Amino acid sequence: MWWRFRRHRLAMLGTAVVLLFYGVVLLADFLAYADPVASEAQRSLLPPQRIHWWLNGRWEPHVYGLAGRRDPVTFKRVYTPDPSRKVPVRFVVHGFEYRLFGLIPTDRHLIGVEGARPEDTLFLLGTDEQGRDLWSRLMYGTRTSLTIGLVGVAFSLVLGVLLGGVSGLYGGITDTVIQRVIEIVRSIPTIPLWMGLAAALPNDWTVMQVYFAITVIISLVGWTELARVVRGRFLSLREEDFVTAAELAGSSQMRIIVHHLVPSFLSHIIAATTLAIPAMIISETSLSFLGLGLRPPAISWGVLLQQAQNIQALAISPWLLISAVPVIIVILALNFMGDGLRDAADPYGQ
Amino acid sequence: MLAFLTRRLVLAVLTVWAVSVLSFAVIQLPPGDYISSYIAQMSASGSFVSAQEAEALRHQYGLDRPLYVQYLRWMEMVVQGKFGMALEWGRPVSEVIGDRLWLTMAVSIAAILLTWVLALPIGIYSAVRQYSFGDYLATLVGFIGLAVPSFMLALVLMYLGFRLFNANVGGLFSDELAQAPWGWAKTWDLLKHLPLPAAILGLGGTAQLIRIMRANLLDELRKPYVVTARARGLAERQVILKYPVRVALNPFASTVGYLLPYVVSGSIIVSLVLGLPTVGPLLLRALVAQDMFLAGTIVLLLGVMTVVGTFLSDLLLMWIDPRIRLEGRR
Amino acid sequence: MASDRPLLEVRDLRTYFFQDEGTVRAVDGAGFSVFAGRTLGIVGESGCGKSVTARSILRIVERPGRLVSGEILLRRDGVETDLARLDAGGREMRQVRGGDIALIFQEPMTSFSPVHTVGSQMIETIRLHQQLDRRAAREKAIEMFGLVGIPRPERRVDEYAFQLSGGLRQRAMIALALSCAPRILIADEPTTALDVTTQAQILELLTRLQRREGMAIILITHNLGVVAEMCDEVVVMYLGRVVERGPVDAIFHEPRHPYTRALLRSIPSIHAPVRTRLPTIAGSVPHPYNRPACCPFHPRCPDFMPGRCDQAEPALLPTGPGHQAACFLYEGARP
Repeated sequence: MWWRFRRHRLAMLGTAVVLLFYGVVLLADFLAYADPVASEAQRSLLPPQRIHWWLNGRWEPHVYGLAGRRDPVTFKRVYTPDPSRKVPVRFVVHGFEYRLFGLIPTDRHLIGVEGARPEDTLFLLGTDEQGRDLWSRLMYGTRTSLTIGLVGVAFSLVLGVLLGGVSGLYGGITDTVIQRVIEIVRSIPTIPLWMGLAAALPNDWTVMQVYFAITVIISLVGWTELARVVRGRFLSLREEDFVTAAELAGSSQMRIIVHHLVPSFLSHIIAATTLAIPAMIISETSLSFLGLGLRPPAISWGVLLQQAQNIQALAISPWLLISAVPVIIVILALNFMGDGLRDAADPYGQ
Repeated sequence: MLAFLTRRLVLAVLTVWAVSVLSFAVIQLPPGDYISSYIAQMSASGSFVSAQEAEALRHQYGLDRPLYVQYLRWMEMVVQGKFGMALEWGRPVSEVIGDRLWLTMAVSIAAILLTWVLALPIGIYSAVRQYSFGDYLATLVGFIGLAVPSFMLALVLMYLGFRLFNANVGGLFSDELAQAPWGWAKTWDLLKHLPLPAAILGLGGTAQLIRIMRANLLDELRKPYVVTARARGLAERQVILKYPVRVALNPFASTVGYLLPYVVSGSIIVSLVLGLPTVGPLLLRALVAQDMFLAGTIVLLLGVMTVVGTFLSDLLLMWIDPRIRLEGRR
Repeated sequence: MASDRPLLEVRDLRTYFFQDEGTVRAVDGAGFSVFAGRTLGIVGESGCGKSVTARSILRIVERPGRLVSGEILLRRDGVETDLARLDAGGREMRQVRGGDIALIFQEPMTSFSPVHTVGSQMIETIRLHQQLDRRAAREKAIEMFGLVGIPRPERRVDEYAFQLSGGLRQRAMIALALSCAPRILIADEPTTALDVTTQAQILELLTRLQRREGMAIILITHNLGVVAEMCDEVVVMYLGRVVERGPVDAIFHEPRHPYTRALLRSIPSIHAPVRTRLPTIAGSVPHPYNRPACCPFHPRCPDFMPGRCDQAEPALLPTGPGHQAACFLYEGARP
């Protein structure tokens, strides 16, 4: 199966991208350079800064510093790029403290600026309304969104394998009942329900609790697809001769399941699971976008996009939409990867 | 055929029941009950509700009875069309929902129709001219539809519309007609505004259907009866359209059943972004404000309409596929 | 006499499949003649190009295949038309298909559209080739069903393929093919998927219809028993080329080409002593992209002549009355 997968060039590309993103998950702290929750109203809505790589023919990456001035109309301090100030950009610099992989305390970051003044900071993707650096928030948001996807899919998987397996293995009434339940669940529009469930979460729950609850909610719908796949595989495998042979040889039911059936459908399950992750990501992003999912100070792609809800604000600061890009890329990549896995697992289709 | 119909009907009824229970759960979930929210509201506006009054109200609404009794009473009222009061608005729920539900269904159905109209020909073309430029283009569009959540698409389009045309591309009606009573002018206005939301909503589903149609048709095109049809002297267009397409249409049609919940779901968020006067924004407000009767009723009605729609599409499927019609009659 | 000139004459037919990995020469210079009222058998192993030949005649070869060269001369009303020159999707060719030449397949179930009644498919074909209105076409369809031995044809006409039993489906398929009285019927492995009894019935039906209509049959099969029973002439194909052709008796009793001989030898005989080894043909069919540019059979030929057989391709050389074999063994032989 691995060899077939490799032939699928798109799938390989997708996998590479997915791995890249999960690398970000692990290294989010390292890749970010500003404290994601540190807000500074004075720096709100700054456009992304360009890194200029050359200076007088020499390789000296730098950004333009910011000059503050008083806006004559609002009397607020407004920052604009000042080309006369060149702030050098360095790599692997000191920054705020964190723990790498949650274990090693360090304060090194991939990129940063050396400069004394508070205006000399880096904003690779600009800032949001509260002056928080978007690049750093995006790094952390990636971590949250992708892990929710994984955890959610894990729950769906458990549910799906359980119900699908029981359904396929035992057949008969159990199968019919579970099938009907699955059909019923699929017939209900999901978003209104999720919204209802999410809105019901008490306001005073901690971020972690909300995170957990949201994960459970979004996994409640994804399981149907997985259950179908599992059931399908179990049904067809049940009739296979090698199962009968094992039974005749006297293997116990358990042994049959673990030793014979599981390896056969494992590849299908992996494929189906990979294809289920995008749905989870979209669900969480949608819910948080509406304000019903994860809430600040939690950061996820959906939370980041929430600021983009207002069209007027968006028109002035289009970089707020940047968070949409990783969503699209990851979903595409996961789909390619899942397609490749599926084709490799069963080249003749379902 | 009858067996098929009854099965779908029973399933539909069961689903409606499940939806009602879930809607009831939505109503009950937030901490506190209807009355405490009501009291909070009343005190906020200055009136005072005494403990006895609260007790009396609780009794009146049956809130001191066990849950299943409350559920039954609520169902009783629902069946009579009395959906309760919308707290925030101070008006009956049915009044507040008003037109919006129909508009939601209108947008959803428009999206589905658009999906069919687009996906079918593109899917056929993709399969027949496999690996052609058109096929790759269609696949690309398909991937976009797959990967970009509809609300994001809506956001981008709104932004572009604003930036490039300085126009608000959202909304279902032009400003003048928004409040006007229904008539030809308003209906026509609605139709003019429908394509954009329908397209945004439908893109995801279209992408999926194109892939399904293409895959199914590719399978069918390899089958001997297509060769036989050609060997009988039929023109190529007939050969493709009359036979394998018809057969590939079956799984296509059966997918429609699950398209409706998906589209209705999507319409909630998209209508928020585009500012459509449908149920979506209303639901969100209700949930945020913990206006539970409003929210629960919306969930219920949405669910029921979806089930009805699905059932109708099952009828359509039955009509298309003679294998189902004749099943059981041998 | 009408049967002196062939109804269909195929000359040097070449159909190649142009794929990314290479070109498959599915039919690489095939030629034979088909006469009215007689049955021609085309035999060979799987992959030798028999089916592609049939489809090439009807010009329904699918991409990436293409009829590269050759002539397919169809005689109609004294006029000869080269089917190879016609536009494959054009009107004239479409009229030939089903109207002059019909094709039936191995698997009847998948030959019918599952979502249309068998009758509607027949009526469609009839109306396509003959100027009949709905009612008349339906009458004709019912008549055809009766002709092939389907009981209660007026009811069966409105049924779907999945409602008919296997044998009836086969007959329905034959009725469909014959609905417009084609003068040539190409049967591609018509009996392979059938049990022996049904096989006999179908063959008997085909013979009966042939006698009645005077049509020619091209029977494509790898079953030599069927060939012996039904055919008047035989064409043996190997790797897209005709290696031997002649009257059925000559082929069976005096096979000339080493391949034909090997084929006949490999039929298990009821007369052979017990525990006799079944003779097989050494080697295997070469990869389609690696066809040798000389005698196609030489790597597996027991009579291989080095220096001759691997240098050039033998043409069909006469080896008897109406009998030809493409083998250098017969160079210089007198007919």
